[in-house]
Amino acid sequence: MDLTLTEEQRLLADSARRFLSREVGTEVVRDLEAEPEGFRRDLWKRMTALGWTSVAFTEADGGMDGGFGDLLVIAEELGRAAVSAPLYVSVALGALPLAWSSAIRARERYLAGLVDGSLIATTALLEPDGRAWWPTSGGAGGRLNGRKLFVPFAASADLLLVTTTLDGEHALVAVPTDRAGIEVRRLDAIGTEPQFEVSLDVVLSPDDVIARGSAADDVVARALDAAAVLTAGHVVGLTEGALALGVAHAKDREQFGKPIGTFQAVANRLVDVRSEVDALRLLVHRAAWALDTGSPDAGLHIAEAKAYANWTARTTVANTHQSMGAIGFTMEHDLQLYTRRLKAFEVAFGRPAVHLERVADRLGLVG
Amino acid sequence: MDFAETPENAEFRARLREFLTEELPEWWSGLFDADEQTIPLTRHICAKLAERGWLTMSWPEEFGGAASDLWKQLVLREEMWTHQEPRGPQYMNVNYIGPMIMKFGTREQHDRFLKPMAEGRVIWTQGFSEPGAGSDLAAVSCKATEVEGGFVVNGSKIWNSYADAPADWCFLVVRSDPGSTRNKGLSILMVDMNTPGVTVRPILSLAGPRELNELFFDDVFVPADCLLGAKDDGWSMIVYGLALERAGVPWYAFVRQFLPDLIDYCNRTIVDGAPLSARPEVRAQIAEMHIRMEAARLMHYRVVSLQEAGVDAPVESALSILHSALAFQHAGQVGLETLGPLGQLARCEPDAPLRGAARQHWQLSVAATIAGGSADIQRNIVAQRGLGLPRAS
Repeated sequence: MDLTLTEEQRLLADSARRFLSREVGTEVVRDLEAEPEGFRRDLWKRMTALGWTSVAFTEADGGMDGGFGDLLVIAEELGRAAVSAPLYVSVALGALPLAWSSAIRARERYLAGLVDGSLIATTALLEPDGRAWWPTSGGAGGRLNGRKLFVPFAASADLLLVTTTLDGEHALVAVPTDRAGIEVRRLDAIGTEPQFEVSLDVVLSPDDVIARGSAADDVVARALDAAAVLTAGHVVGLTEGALALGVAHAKDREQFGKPIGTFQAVANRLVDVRSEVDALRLLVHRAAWALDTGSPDAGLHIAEAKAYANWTARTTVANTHQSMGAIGFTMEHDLQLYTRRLKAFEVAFGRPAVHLERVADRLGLVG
Repeated sequence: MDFAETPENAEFRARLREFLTEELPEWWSGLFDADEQTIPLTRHICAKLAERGWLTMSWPEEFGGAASDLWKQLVLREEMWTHQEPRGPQYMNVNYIGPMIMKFGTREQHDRFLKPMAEGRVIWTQGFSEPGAGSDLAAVSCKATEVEGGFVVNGSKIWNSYADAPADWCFLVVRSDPGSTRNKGLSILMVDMNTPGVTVRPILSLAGPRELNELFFDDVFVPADCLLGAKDDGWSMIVYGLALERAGVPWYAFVRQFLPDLIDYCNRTIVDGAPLSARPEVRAQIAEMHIRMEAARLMHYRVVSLQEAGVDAPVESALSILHSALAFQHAGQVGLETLGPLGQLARCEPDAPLRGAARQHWQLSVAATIAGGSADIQRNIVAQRGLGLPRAS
């Protein structure tokens, strides 16, 4: 038992923090959001040069033999800097499902590029009803038809994984985004992470199918779990970033002749954010550790972590805004960059109720 | 990060559980039971623990301990508290009164006080808080006047646990320099509770008997050889001692013990044709109770990780206490809400579900954000030392 970061993780965190504070201040974050794609490839190149996309892969796959614990460290730093980058998307929702699948040809074609970062993948999961991952019918006779919402970084991606139903069977397919019949449109959503509508009318080749039937269900379930853990890791960083703004304000801002941080009502709200984020970091790292070690409790720990991340996101938004007053509500102030992403991550990959139900189930409450 | 318990500690935990299952009788429900057998049982358990070398295993070898690491000590604490702390009042001796005597006492004091503690034969009470001073520990007015051969103590103390057990000794903080204020001029005296002039007044609380008392000292003579460390140098010793106290562990341990029983009750209890466990609100509340408990547990494990690495962790420690207290209070609410009206019944009532555990936990939990350093004080520590916010002047 040792609930502190390893020496390697501390170094990784330091280098990520230095890189992000030097290269991606909040002005750059605002510029990125204003880009049509919501991201820039040149920034991605500099991130992948640091090895971020490869940390969680085995050496055999061109990786650094690390794990989710290491990815979390980077996710926290991205969150702290309020930076939206397709790291968790391309790794958890693209490369890892491919690595887990038995689709040899697709692995050969894409995996090396995803691991070294020369390719970006994303996954089109959500059906237009806003609930289902799988359409009742998505295609037959070698064609893929459908529309998906909330596909992150779709305009930057080279590869699109799609959950669909082919010939009456669940299927996960991977199609290059330059294939004819793919249209993307940026959605106006809360978060600063670019989200897209993707419309598909695509001719499939047999090699495009990554997994079918229960194998497809399994791969997607694992990918969603991995994404839940990594977004919870982003919540840790986003909360740290928002808290730092709140604390700085409480020290500087004077009312009634003293800094407002001397008032217990103000201080305690910020303390409660510190309290929750510290617990969240431990829960999220335990979930990552469970995934990395193949623990039978991984499902429980992932659900604990994501449920807690959702609570923390709410507390952070409420308490930092309350401490900041009117200025924090303006678009000029950086707090909104954190606020919008916290809310977007709260509703992504399992709302609070979903994960609480998973915990209840794992605790043995008879349904 | 590594979240796995070592095989050695897992085995130690299993042995402790086996021991406690064997030794604890059916009627045992914790320290604050009015039953006359309670205190004798805790003495018996401590003697048995001492025989196995477990009572003082955290102590250095020269004082008869095994110098066990902090993780092993934590396992012991967790297992004791998940069984309602059958060491009774003696956990305080082991955790910090003994270690303070080791650190600051004379060789004669070591010989005199530590052996009975190690054998599980003696009960101490702590005399820190005063009627006019709750969270403000330095506001001590109970005074010790130096006389020939020792001190004469006058004043009172409050919130003294187990003084009516009865306690044999009191670990007493006094103002020994009459001209001093705040944390200057304080001393620690070890007072024989049988000395003339010592009066114990039990205060009934929501926890039950023995949790709280008031102590009165009326011209109580304390011999000079019962002064711990240097006269007027008490504050640094108090600070040292408070850091040894692992407040918070009992609360998450209570929740950890209660949770499986509550789940079992919900699975077995059929209401309107379906088990209580199938109700969405019950499922969500119990899941939340579990997650809060786990968060508190990990916060404590972080403190131990840091301390094992030689890092002082006052902010992390304050946060762990806060988490534990709030998780316990939440569990108290969920327990009573889940059980419905019958949850209010005391264990002596034949209709009480879970032998009255929900009510007992809820009553105890009300004090969780007050006892041993209130939640407000813990938050102040985090605000000032953790977040670097300015102090109110």
